[in-house]
Amino acid sequence: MDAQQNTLEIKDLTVEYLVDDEVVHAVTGVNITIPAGRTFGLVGETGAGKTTTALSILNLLPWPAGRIVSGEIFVNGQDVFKMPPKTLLAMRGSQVAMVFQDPMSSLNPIKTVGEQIAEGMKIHRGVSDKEALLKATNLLEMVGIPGSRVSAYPHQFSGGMKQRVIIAIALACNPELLIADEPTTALDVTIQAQVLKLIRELKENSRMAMLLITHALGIVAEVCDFVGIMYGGRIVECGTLADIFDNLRHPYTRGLFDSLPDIENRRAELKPIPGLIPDPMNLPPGCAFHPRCAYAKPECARDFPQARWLSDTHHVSCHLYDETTENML
Amino acid sequence: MQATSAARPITTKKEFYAQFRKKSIAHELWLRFLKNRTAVIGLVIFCFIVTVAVAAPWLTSYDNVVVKMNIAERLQPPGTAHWFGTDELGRDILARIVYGARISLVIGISAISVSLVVGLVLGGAAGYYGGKIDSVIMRAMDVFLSLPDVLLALAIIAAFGNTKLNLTIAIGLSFAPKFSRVVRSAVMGVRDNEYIEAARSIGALDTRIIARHVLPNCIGPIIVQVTLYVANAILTIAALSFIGLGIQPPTPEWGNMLASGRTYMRDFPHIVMAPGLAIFFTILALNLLGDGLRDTLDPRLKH
Amino acid sequence: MGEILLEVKNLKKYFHVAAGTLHAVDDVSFTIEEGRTLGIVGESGCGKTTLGRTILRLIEPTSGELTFNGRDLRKLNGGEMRYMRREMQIIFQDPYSSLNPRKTIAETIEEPILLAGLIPDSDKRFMRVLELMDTVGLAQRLINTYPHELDGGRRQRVGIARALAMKPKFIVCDEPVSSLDVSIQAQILNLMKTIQRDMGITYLFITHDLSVVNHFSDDIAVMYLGRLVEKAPAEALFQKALHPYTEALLSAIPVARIHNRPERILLKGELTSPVNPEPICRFAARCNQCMDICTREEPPLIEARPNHFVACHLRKPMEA
Repeated sequence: MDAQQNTLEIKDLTVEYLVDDEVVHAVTGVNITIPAGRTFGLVGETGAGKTTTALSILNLLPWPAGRIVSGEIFVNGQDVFKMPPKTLLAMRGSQVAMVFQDPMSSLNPIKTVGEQIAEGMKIHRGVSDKEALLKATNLLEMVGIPGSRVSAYPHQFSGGMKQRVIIAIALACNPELLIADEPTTALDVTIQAQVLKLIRELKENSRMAMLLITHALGIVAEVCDFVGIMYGGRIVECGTLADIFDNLRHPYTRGLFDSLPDIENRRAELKPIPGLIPDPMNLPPGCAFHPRCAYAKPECARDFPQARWLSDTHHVSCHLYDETTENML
Repeated sequence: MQATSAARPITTKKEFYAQFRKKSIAHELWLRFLKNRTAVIGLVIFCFIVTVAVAAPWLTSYDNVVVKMNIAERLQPPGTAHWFGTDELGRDILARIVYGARISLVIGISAISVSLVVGLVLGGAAGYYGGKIDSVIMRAMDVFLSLPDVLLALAIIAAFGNTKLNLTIAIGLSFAPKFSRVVRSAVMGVRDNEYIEAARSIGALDTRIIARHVLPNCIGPIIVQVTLYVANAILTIAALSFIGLGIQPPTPEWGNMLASGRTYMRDFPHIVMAPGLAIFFTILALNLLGDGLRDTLDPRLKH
Repeated sequence: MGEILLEVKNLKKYFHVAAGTLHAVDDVSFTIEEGRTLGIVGESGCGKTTLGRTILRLIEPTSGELTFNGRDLRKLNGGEMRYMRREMQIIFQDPYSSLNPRKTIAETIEEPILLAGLIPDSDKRFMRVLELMDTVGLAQRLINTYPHELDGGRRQRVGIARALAMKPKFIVCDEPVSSLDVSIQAQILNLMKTIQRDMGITYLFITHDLSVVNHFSDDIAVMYLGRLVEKAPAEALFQKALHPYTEALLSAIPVARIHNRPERILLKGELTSPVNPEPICRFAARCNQCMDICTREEPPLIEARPNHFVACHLRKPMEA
């Protein structure tokens, strides 16, 4: 990879939740590396562990239920779990910013958007009120909202605009890493297109790295450089955009692509993945996907397959590739 | 799971239900409730009070002990013969407390039952239909809510006479507006769920929808309020009796016991301490129980 | 096939709000033939959800005509409409709020049959419930489960079973798969298609997801701010959309491909308000092909190609 430092390195992260005396294995053995200026798409369905992974980066897991069992996370070379609390606080909002899914509840209804954008700047950069306001106005323009609306309140904005305000807040301190958890899911398709365009422009004009969490492969195709497919708390396949879209290897990945309606071929019946998404409290043994997998072998129910590197960039965790790197699907 | 052999297919509903039992929601809630220690304490204390009240006739004799004056033994401090001591007329205080519990509980629970029925009807209609019906009912309730509880009960008693029945109705009516509010907001919370619309789409009449779909899902907040309002009702009864307008002596009631013991308070504090503590513990128990129920039934904690 | 089952004419639903009159559904007209699926697409605020409910008179229309199977729905009183509902059912969007949390799924599915009095015998009725559960792919052992014990996909199947209980002819599907995970969506859509084939049901399929609607509909109608802006058979719409909004909508669909990605048409601005709208083209403010007349007159719905309707000043009606 690059000689320079990676903005984000997650190494072997394992996270558990304690719910009513039961242990939920939310995330197991996850590795993610994001070089500066690149976007990593973390793809998975409900309960796959994507949001838990994201929250772990800033040590924002719900307490006391969430527990980081093992693993390390480095942001720009700094170990997040070992840093003093003050440093972590300083990092949140300035070096690492997060955009959550629901724009409706992420904004404080009793503060103007200008105040909310400026808040981070005042905390982390010690900027004066006047300067902060000016910067906030500029940021609004940057995300496509007229600067004059800096003194408006959240309820005066539509859903799409609120999400853009949230992005402006996240960008206020020029973060080096942006974590976006389903940033466009709650938005209409045409608004989503606008927001994705904004995200693409941000990518091109800055060295900001981004972790984009989504369940939509279409969005991944549009803005991501790398893709990780998550299932049952683990990354089952990971690679560059081309690796995943042109050369996928894992049966679950194949199932995800097959479940999508094909615009070109409307008459064809959809090919859903049979069965149900596993309950994180009750994951199947071995490879969590084996009950639904058309290629399952006896060992799939026993051991979770170790990650197998198919190329410099592409790895997959599937027993189909224990012996070979040829495409087995 | 399959206890029966597959030879004969199951054809009746009964057999199916026997094989695939319903999971009891009540059972699960009970288990969750038990985890809340203060709530369990409240429940235990309250059950104790109820048991004592119910068992009163077997524990002591009403005529001989509770109301019979015995001047020779008056104002005795707590001791072996009389565990709580005797009052100014020589009556055993413990026995009077026990019978007082009966009065408080019976009237309190009956009164709140009245409120509940009125509240369910009015609050249910207001919450479900909204619009003009809501406005009319709620404005009427507001009029009553603007009066302090005790005052309203007072007015009714003054007008219609001081009997246990009137007392029950008076307190019941004074809590009805509060209940209407609670029921109304619970109903409004449930009304916007799609299953209500679904019930209409399959042809259910409004009465069925309210009875079978809306109210069963509102029980949570309503039950919590019931326990809390019973506590309030008991307090109101005591207050009214204290000022002489509720239960009249010689019938023992914690409030009137406090009133008659007032003059002797300085030298013989045990006379007022007993009823005071009885009221205290009853209210405490009900409040702990109510809070515990609220936590147990909190929908956010649900699955 | 070929018989018109539902005819909607000039349907309007206005709401009175503080700021004025909200035109949720504004003069919508279309027909659906028996056994076919009409997809209604649009984004938030376009009125599609209100349209679905107004057709079933779960919300009362402000004005317009509704003819179902030859009967004028607006002339029916409460009891007659309830009776009519046996033939017109609805599947809701949210699998979490569309089932009564206190009823087991068997009770939920049984209720419509019970209310209609179709099967008085308790055991026979129960057998019908089992039959319905089987149709929608729910295991028998789930009869006494409560909604919270099931995942979204299964709950949605319960909703479908409930809708099918009275053997309806017509079902309004209000975003039935939008709340489900991608791999489950496909399962439910396949199920709905199978049911349509086996039972000859007519669907009104409301959604914001264009890729799904293409797969699932015979004809598609596009709504914008309460008005019907385009209606055509699905292939025709996707091949050549005639309304600028439809074009933008189609180009905005995220495509799960990294090669040959379509050119995106981006709309400027935001939705204008549906309250007290002006009698001009409601899309004018955002349209990149806006002409002078668009800001002065409301475009009528015309047939620009055979069976392809559009409301846009850019298009001319077919030569007669």
